[in-house]
Amino acid sequence: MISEDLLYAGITELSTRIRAQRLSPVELAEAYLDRIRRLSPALNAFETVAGDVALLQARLAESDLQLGRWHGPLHGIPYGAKDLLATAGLRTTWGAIPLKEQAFDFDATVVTRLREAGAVLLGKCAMVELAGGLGYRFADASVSGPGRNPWNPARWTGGSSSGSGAAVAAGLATFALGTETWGSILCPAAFCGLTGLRPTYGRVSRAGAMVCSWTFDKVGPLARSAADCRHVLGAIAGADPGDPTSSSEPVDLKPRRLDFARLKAALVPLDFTVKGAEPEVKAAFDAAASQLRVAGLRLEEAKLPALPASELAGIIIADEALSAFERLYQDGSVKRLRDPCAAYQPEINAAITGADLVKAWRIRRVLQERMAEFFAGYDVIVTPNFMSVAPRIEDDLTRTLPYADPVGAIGNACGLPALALPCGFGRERMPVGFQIMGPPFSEGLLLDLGEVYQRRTAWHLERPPLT
Amino acid sequence: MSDPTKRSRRRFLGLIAAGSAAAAATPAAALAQAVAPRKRPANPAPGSPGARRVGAHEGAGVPPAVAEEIRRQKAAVEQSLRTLRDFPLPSGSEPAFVFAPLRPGKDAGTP
Repeated sequence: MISEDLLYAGITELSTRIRAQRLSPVELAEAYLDRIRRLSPALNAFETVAGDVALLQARLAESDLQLGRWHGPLHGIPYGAKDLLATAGLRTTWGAIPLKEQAFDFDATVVTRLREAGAVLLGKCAMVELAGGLGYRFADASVSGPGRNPWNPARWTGGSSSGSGAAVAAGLATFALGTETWGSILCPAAFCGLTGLRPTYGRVSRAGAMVCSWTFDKVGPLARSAADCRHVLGAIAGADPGDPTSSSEPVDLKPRRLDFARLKAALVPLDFTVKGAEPEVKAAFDAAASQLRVAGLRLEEAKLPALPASELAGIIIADEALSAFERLYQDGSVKRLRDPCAAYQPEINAAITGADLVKAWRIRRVLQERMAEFFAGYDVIVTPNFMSVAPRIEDDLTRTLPYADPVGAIGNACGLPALALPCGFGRERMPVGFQIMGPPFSEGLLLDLGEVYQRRTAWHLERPPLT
Repeated sequence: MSDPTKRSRRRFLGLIAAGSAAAAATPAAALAQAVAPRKRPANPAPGSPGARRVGAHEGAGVPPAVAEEIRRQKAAVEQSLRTLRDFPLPSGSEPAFVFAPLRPGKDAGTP
């Protein structure tokens, strides 16, 4: 009998037991599948549960171990994949009703890499339709229904990696893959009390992933700790001939002892007087910043460059998404999406000219240059994540999350990595998080800092009150 | 990356864009399942009633609340465009992408 404690254990602990053959990958997969059957329907965490695939992969992991073949720290570790990553033989719905029977006969590169690392695919995690590429105002804009938060199912998980967030927070998988175009890893991490890593653009191959925006999409893990994110990123990062935008920058994620005397962090405060921001979230962030100071990190208040990052990001993503989902307009199936405005996005964005798009790209270059200058003075940025806790399922998101996201706009427009960390609780004991963002390919440093923070705090070990 | 079934990102996108009809014509016939096997109607000609149904809300029987949301989103796009158009840039400043010619026989993944 596998205890709930083990289903919430970190990768290192599970891996140690599996390698020593004190924990059976098959029994672990069965325990997760049983919990998924019990809890997932109420949370809409999984769109497809791949019981047969999981048990097959788990048996293979077990027999490999018996033959003395160990594939690394993810050997036998069960995970969920966001339902926009192609998986041979399993449906890949992209969260969209018109594509609910879509299936591919190949795996996304990240799925292949996890399989080669010995990880066990439990199923496809639910998501907001088309990762929000054609817009959405309500949590139920998904073929799977609204992502319900394990901390309170009357509240949203965040999106668009909604099922990935719910699955990990509810102990239905050890980790899950999500994707972020703008906010889709950091948002569910904040709302579900998880650790999420948005890698540098190009750090992880997107081959076989749905395209929402060619120049913004990133694949990354949602997990319970920075240490777990490090294991997952180590398995999926690196160049891929299948993705021309993947980077050949070497992957070096070895944990390092931080020399705080040489590190300087920019503390970027957000304006919590704006509509929708909650003082409890600010208090939790302030406490997190204090913990980092006590650990030895020099934090200096700073302002990010004042450029129209949100505007350029919005315009580029809108046009890339309209092109990516052109077929849905051509065959009329866009009208079957849950969001009633999706069908009218060409009209909504009709005022964007070609010259506007090129100008957005030119400003994007200036923004990159200013951020490169910024990071000449600072190693990382420490800043809040979302300024309020998860909204209620029925809420109009444009009203309950009305505030701007300047850091997310800059980070995603410049392809910068960010680590989301839980740092407490806000209203109705809903999770709150903050983020550490760095220059391109600084994931190792972000994870080092995340681990320092999580050695000093226990927010990442909290569990929702599920039965 | 030894999986022989793995497709390049370009190939993947091509399949999605092509839909079931084109995929069925490829040697890898199984790839026809890339998209739900449903006949795709001919694209509506620009300006035809079909074209108006998808993409333009006026005359499409859109509920008032949706029409209001469309107006709100249009206004937000127009506000963004005003901000971008007013933003001063040096003449000839570079965009954030680099075009590179592709040599024959060169893998698209290794420019």
